[in-house]
This record gives sequence, structure tokens and C-alpha cells, in this order.
Amino acid sequence: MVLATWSTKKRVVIVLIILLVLGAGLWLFFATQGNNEDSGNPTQNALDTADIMTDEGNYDQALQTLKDAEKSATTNDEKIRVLNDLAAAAANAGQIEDALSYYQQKHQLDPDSSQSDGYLVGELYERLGQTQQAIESYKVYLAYLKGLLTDEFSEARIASMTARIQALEESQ
Amino acid sequence: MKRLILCMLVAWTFLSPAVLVGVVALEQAAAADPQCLSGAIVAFDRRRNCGYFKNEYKTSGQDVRIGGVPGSVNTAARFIQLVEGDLTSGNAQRMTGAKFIILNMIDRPAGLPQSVTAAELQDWKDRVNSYASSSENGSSSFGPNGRIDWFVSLHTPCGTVNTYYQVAEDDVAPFTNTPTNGSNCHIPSSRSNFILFRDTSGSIKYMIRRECMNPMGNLENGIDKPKALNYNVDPSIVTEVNGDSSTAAAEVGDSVRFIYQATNTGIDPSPNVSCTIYANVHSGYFAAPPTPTSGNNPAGYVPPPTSCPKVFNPGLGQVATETITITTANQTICRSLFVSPSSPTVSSLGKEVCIPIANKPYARVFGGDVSAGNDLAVTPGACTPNSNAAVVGWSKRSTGNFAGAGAQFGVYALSAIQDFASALGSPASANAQAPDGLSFANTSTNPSIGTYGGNFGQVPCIPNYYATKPDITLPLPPSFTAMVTGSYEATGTTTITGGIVDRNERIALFVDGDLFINGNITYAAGTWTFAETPTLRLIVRGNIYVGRTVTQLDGLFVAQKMNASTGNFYTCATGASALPLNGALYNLCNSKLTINGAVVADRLHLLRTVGTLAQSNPSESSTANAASEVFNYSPAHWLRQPLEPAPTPGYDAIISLPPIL
Repeated sequence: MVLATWSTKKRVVIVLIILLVLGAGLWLFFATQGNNEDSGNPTQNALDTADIMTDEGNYDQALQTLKDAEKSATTNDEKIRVLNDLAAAAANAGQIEDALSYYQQKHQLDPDSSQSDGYLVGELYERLGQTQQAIESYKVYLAYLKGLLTDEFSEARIASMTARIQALEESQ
Repeated sequence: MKRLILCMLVAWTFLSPAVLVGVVALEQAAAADPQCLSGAIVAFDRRRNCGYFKNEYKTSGQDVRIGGVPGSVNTAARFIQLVEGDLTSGNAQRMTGAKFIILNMIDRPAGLPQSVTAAELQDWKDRVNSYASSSENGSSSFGPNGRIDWFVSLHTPCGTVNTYYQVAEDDVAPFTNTPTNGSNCHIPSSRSNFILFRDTSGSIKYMIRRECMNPMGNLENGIDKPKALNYNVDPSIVTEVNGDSSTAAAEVGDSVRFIYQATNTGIDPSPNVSCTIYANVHSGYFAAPPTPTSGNNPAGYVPPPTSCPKVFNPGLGQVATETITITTANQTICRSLFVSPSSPTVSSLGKEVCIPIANKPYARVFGGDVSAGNDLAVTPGACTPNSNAAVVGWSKRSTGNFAGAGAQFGVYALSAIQDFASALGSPASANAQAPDGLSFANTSTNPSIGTYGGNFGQVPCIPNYYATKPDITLPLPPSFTAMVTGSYEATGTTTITGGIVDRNERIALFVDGDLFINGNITYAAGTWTFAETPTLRLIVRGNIYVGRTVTQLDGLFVAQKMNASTGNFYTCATGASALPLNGALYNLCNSKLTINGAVVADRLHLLRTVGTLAQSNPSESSTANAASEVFNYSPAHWLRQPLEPAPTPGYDAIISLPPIL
């Protein structure tokens, strides 16, 4: 009723302010999506704990934590996430072939991610001395980069990955 | 027209500096972009998108290194090689990227010239190596300052500082990851591989994204300088003689082992330390010098192989071992061990040990006893025994093998009987066996440490032999060979050159002073009846000195004590004075002395140096042994009655009572 007595100008301003606040709130929500606080989800808790262990350099502990979390993952998304972090943790702990295996399992559940993981997989093959497989993985990743929206960042990454593949091919 | 041109010329003359200044000012205004002069600092004292070297603003660019870090870079050496190679590559982007990484890692402030000095390059290398100098395994490197993890897959959140190469400006500038600049920082599962330098607590000091070689994260402090290592490598040499490390000297035939070691008393492993061994051999005795000897080795000497150069971890480390067999006595064998470096401040440290090769000469008594503590009788049967009198020698102290110094029969002492066996070589019963079976007393012995008895309660007095001098004596002739049966007398320091006591001769010589025997005195060879047994009695009221070239004395030799400086019997001398006990003794007295008879003295100085304990064996005989002095006592020395004038008669009877010694 108070609103009805205000002038049109004032009403417009207030509505605009409300819309602005809502929009900012929505942006904030989406921007921090995934950075969940401890919601009581054991899988998420394990993932967060493993991240902390990795930051501290305790790679073996992070790997063990994630192996335990694998059992508690129920949804497809959780399994994909756990396998993703397991692959990283195994790589950090120097268990390269296990890391590759985890990536393969992840890509069976999430085939699209095999492209974006191409760089990480390629470097694992390099660490094993399997240069040709590394080159193939890097090419998959390069195709992924080229498929992204063209901007200065992806162009830089394309140039860098192209040079990397070329250097590897020349080294064979 | 001319005026117009002139005006234009004048105007240009005045205006051109202003124009130039204006152009320069315009250019400077373009370099000092306002966005690089104000606003929040992002990293290394630079605003977002403002270059490290030139502080120029440019929002777009490329990876710091096109191609990123090759997957083969997983050691400090390869990392250094990659960056150093880029530094001299001639490619502007590679060179600038390398310069930025080097200078940012050593925490050089922004804005300084776009070049890396030799000192800065070396500083950077030293810092990198300090995180990797201990060990590397292809995934991580370890060093005193921490470690490098070469492949770490992790997620970096939005807001993390990142860097990029500004193409036109040829510079490296910072920015922060956002959801919209392609970093995927808003996706928690998004991962990148990093090279992480961590300090000893595990905290990240520096991180480089491998895909692009962009330094990221905290770029304010670089990595740490190498910390001063806390190591102190101290060399040492353990010597063992026949496996025994407590033996300070060796004999000919012994096996000597040198165990070369070094102990790191610090808390950090040392860098690679080199080890050098030297040998020196000295004549006679030589004490290890405080400053160890280095330099030339004896001809033909080959040092043993060492395990160096090597890293010495805290604690004891082995270097080498060397075993030799001793072949020459009267020398000192030395070995030195040098380690380099010994500590951060000591470039070289050495240690020298020396082991003397000494003879352990020993005396043997056959057919008789040894007694210590007897004093000169002031009246017949009355004397003050010396409770400190001991019998000391060298003995092998081994069950079944107490070879060395000893008497075939009894050994008496009012003090200790130390390493001088009784019943040695005697066909004694089971109750009287070496080394203490005939020791008086033998109630407290410990053969394993050479304690063979002693502390006997009482011993007989020494008769006053000089008092048996007859009232009428003959003067000592110039030559010993001129002496025939009779009693002779000399006064003062006397020298006799030695000779033969013929069959049936009974000679007594009384010397009131010191006597120097400068030649062998022997009983005539051949056979004789007991009534023809030659006898010699040398009764000296002073000291007896036996010349160093004398090898045999037959008879009774008495050095009778008059005062504190008399009563000494020296088995080796060069005149009527005692030889100093120094290294010269070895060569001076290096011959055997055999005394067939008996010696009575206040103190017996056994100075011959020939032979050594190691050469002795328990079955030695009076004619086949390695002893330096041999005393052979037989009934021949008392069967013939002494030449004594009336009214003092000779023996009336001789009775031997058990125990038969």
C-alpha cells in the first residue's frame, strides 16, 4: 500500500535495485558452484580432505582417502568426480599406471571428459616413456582446445600444445 | 613569401624542442599507463596485466613458454638446462620467459633491467639445487631446503595469481584466474599439472604450471637460498694388531690392520667428500704428529681403494681397510687419512696414526730360580727385605702357550710376578705347571692378564759376598788371561777385557768400585772332573756393566749394594756407566747374552734387544730360543768348593731337600 503512494520514478528505482541485488546473488551462487561447504556428504568431505592433503604434499594419504571414498560414491556424478581425483592422486603419488587406469574408468562413465583430460593423460604417458601414446593424447587435447570458443586464451593454448606435439614428434 | 618562410623557420627553431619534448612526453605517457600506476597490486609489485620489466599494460598474450615444460623435465639438472637453454636461445619469448623465471625465483624486484647477470644465474642454480641435491627419483627431488615435486595434479581456485607473456611488450605480466578467462578455476574437478617447490615443512614456495610454464600462486618471495649445511666430517683411523685394537705396538710377524673411517657429527648429509690416504715409515720410534702428514708415499706403496668420493650421512662412515704383515722391527709405520671438504668452512681435515714396530725382548732362566726382594745381610741372616721388589717380563699369557720370559724352576718375589712364568719348560707335575705353578706365592694369580703370583712373605738375605775377600789378595793383572787360581783385588772403576778360565782354575776377583766387562769370560772347553771344575767369582762392591759386544759370561757375578746408586747389574753397556734408555738402545744392544752361572744384584737391568716375544715358544731350550738374555744355572757352579783362605772353610756337606726344584 505504501508502494502505491510513491511516485512512478521512485517505484522504478526500487524495482531496479531489487533486480540488481537478485542478479548479484544469482551470479555469486553460480560462480561458487561446486565449492560446497561441508554438507555432510561423505564423498564430498573425502574429496575436500584429499585436496587439503595434496596441498600439503601428503600424496599417499590423499590417495588412500580417495580410495576409501570410492566405496561411498553412489551417483554417477560422484563416481566420476572420485575417479577424476583418484587419477590425479595416483599420479601425484607416482603410481602412473594406476592413474591411467582411473582415467580410463572415468572416461567410460564420462566419455566427453577424455578430450579435456588429454593433456593430463598425455603427460602420464610421457612419464612412462610411451611417447607415441603421449602424442596421441596431446592431439586429442589439441582437438578439444580447437573446439572451444575462440578467444585469446584458447589460441595461446593451441599454439603451446601444437609446439609441444611437434617437439615430441621431432624427438622420436 | 620569403618572410613567410623565414617566419616558419624561426617558429620551427623555437618550437621543435617543444615538439620533441611533447613527443617524448606522449611516449612516456603511453609507457606509464595509468592502469599500471594505480590500483591493486597483483604480484611482484605489479598491477594486473602490467609487465614485470617495463610495467606496460597489455591484457592479451601467450603462455610464458610455448610448449610448456616438456614431460622429460623431472630433475633439477634438466630444469636448469631447459631454462638456461631458453636464456640463450635467441628467441625473444623464450629468453624473456627464462629471465622472468630466474629473477622472480631469486626474488629480484620488478622494474630492473631485462637481463640476468652471471651471479644471478648462479644464485638461481644454487637455489634450485638446494631443493634437489640429496636425492631424486623422477617424481620428486629432495634437498636441504625442501623438495621439488615435478608432476603434481591439482586444482587452483579462482583468484590464484597467474602469469603470461606480453608479445608486443616482450614482458611477463600477472593476472588472476577467473571463471571467464579460460582457467576453469570455478570447476573443482578441473586439474592442471604443476612443478611445486616445497620447503622442509611441505609448504609450497613456488609453483609453475607445466602446460604453459606460467609461474603461478605466491610469486612474492621466490625460493630460498641454499642454507648452510650443518655437516662436519671428522676422519679417524683404527689400528688392530692381530685383531686386537687395544694393542699399541706390533712385532715382526704381526698382522696390522688400518680401518679408515670418518664421522659426520653434523645433522645434514655432507656433499661429496674426497678421501686421500698417505703412508709414512720412520726409523725407530716416532710419535704421530699433531699436524698429520701428507704428500709423497714410500716407493712401491699403493694406498687401498676407498669408497670416496661419497656423501657422509650423520654418523660413522667407512672409507677403506688395509692389512699389512710386519717384517722389520725398530721402525714406526704411520698412516694418514684426509677428507675434503670436512665442513662448510674447513676445506680439508686429516688424521694420522702411527704404530711402532717394537721388539719385546725376554729373558729365560734354565736350571735355576729367580728371587726378588732379598736384601744384603747386615749381619748373617739379618736384613731388610725390599717389599717392592718385582719380577717383570714379556709373556704370551695364553693357556698352553705361556712362552716368553720365565724360569724353569721357582720364581720368588715380595711384590708382583708380572709376565714372568715359573715352571716354564720344566717337566713338572700337574700341580706345578707354567705360568704360576712354581711362583712364590701363587695364591693370587690371573694368567690372562700376566699376573703370575708374587707377594711372597719372606726371602733369604743376600750374604755379604765382599766380606769373603781374603786379607791377602793379588793385584788385578792388566790382562784377564794372566789371572790364574787366586783371589784378586781392584779398587775404583775397573775394566776387564775377558778371557778363559782354564780347567782346574779357581779365580775370585773383588772390586771395590764399578766393573766394566768388555769381553767374553768363558770356562775352558772340554771335559773335566768335578775336582777340576773351573770357577770364577766376580764380587763387585758397586755396579757391573757388561759390554754390548759380550755374548757369554761364565761364573758367579755379584753386584753388591753399598748405597742407593750401587748394586746394579747392566747386561748392556758401552762403558762403566748406564746407557740412556732411548731409541739408540735397539741397535747398540742387539745381540744375545748368555750367562752360565748366577747373577746376584740389588737390581738387574735386562737391556739386550735381540729377539721378540712373538718368536718365543713354550718348548724353547737353553740352546735353542729367541731370548735376549739366557741364564743357565747348573750344579757345576757350586759343586767345586770355592777358593777361600782359612779360617773360612768351604762346604762341609750339601743336602737337597724336597721340594726338588
